[in-house]
Amino acid sequence: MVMEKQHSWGWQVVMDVFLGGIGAGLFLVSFLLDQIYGPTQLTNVGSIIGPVLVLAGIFFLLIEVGKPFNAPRAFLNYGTSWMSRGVILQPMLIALGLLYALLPLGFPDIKTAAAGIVIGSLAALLAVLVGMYHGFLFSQARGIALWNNPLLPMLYFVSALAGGAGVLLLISPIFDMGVILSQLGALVTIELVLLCLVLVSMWLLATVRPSRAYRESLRRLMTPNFVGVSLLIGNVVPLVILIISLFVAGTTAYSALLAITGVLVLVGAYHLRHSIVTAGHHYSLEISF
Amino acid sequence: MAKWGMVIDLKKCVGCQTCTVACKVENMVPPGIFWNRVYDYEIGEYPNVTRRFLPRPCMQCEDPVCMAVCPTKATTKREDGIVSVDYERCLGCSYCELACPYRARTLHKKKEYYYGESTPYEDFSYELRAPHQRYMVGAASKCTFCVHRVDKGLAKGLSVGQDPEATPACILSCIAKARYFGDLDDPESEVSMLVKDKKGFRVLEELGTDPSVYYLTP
Repeated sequence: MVMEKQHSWGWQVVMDVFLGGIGAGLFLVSFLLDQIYGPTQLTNVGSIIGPVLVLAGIFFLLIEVGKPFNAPRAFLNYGTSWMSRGVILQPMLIALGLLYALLPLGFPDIKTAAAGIVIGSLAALLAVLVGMYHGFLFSQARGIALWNNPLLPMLYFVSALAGGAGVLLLISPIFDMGVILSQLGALVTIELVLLCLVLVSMWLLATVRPSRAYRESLRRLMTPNFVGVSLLIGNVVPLVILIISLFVAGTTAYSALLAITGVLVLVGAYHLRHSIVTAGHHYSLEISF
Repeated sequence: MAKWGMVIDLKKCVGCQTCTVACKVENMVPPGIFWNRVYDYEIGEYPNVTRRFLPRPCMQCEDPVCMAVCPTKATTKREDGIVSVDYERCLGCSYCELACPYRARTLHKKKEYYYGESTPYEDFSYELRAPHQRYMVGAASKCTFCVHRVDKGLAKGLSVGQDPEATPACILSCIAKARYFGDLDDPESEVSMLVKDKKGFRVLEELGTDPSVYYLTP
């Protein structure tokens, strides 16, 4: 089977998908922690960094496109194009997310007031959509067998949540977090397990999907590099560390282990996206002669 | 309204790439971009091997994925089924390149000349060219079924696919007469009859794009 590798999207798109997803996940996790446990320094910083990361992702996308000055037109086809929808959703998340994050500078208690909750909830809803958006973006590319896949939105969303929580874990030693840190660790554990389940489902999909191209794409995705970095370093090892960290809870080692977990989860989240972009192959045009 | 379509007889195709070159000449397609390709396949295992060829223009799909994904609405479909790109509006995001299952689109990444520097042919005034021949760096382009020839032919009252002036360059140039062009909505047209009588099939039909290019098996 002759399948040509796609060369249209490169590292800039990987960066966009990584930063956009992680940014959305970071904002969402920060907002949820705010609402459940009350605002903290960590979640305040998280809800600022999240939208900024999404903005940085858009910057990388703009340097990838051939005619960036046409970007203002890119929202026009929102009826059918997922790229257009992303062009609308991401700036809305950035605006509302930063509003939610920065309003406390003028109104200290607004995050727990009705107005803050409404603004934050709208931004959180947008964060959910942006977290899934990259998956829809890829799955609409019908010419690429691996991407044309209904599970990608879920995969990107769960990975975005894990990555967002990973950023919080990474920066957590800077702040005094107390009990929230263990809740955050539990959240990352759940997200990583979900990520594993979605990845396994992608493989199971091959058993019910008749497309040879899809099965071949999965085979090409499963390189030792992918298994080693995306699966082991980015998923299995963090899970093991999180379990070990339960035995040293409350100590300095605990914070250090969680920060290491955060780094590994982020490495895995980046590598997962990089692997999916580079494993994209066009359908073979070969026919049965 | 007619629905323009193409039929390619794979038994007749000899893989000479004349159509590829004719397309480039007719549409002044820049270096590195191929609106028409002829894929060359080796079938079987040594010593029982043979070569087969698959010419691939744009399929001018009834449900074009490239149009659905285009964020700026630069891609549009005419009533006669021809899908075209407005280079002025194109963002150059390559989304259409990835969405098209037939690899019929290419992003024009940089201005290049065939012989390293500009030639009079390549600098042919943009204003005199048909809109789809006014290439822009950063915009995607694709085969248009030689829409300029089709439109001019129709304006002169010629028969599309029969009169040379109203027929795409790849059809005219084919040394084996392996290509046919005409109205798929007309059951009496040559292309419709070929599809019906010789059981024409389409590539990657399972993706649901409803292409307007049919193939006849060797």
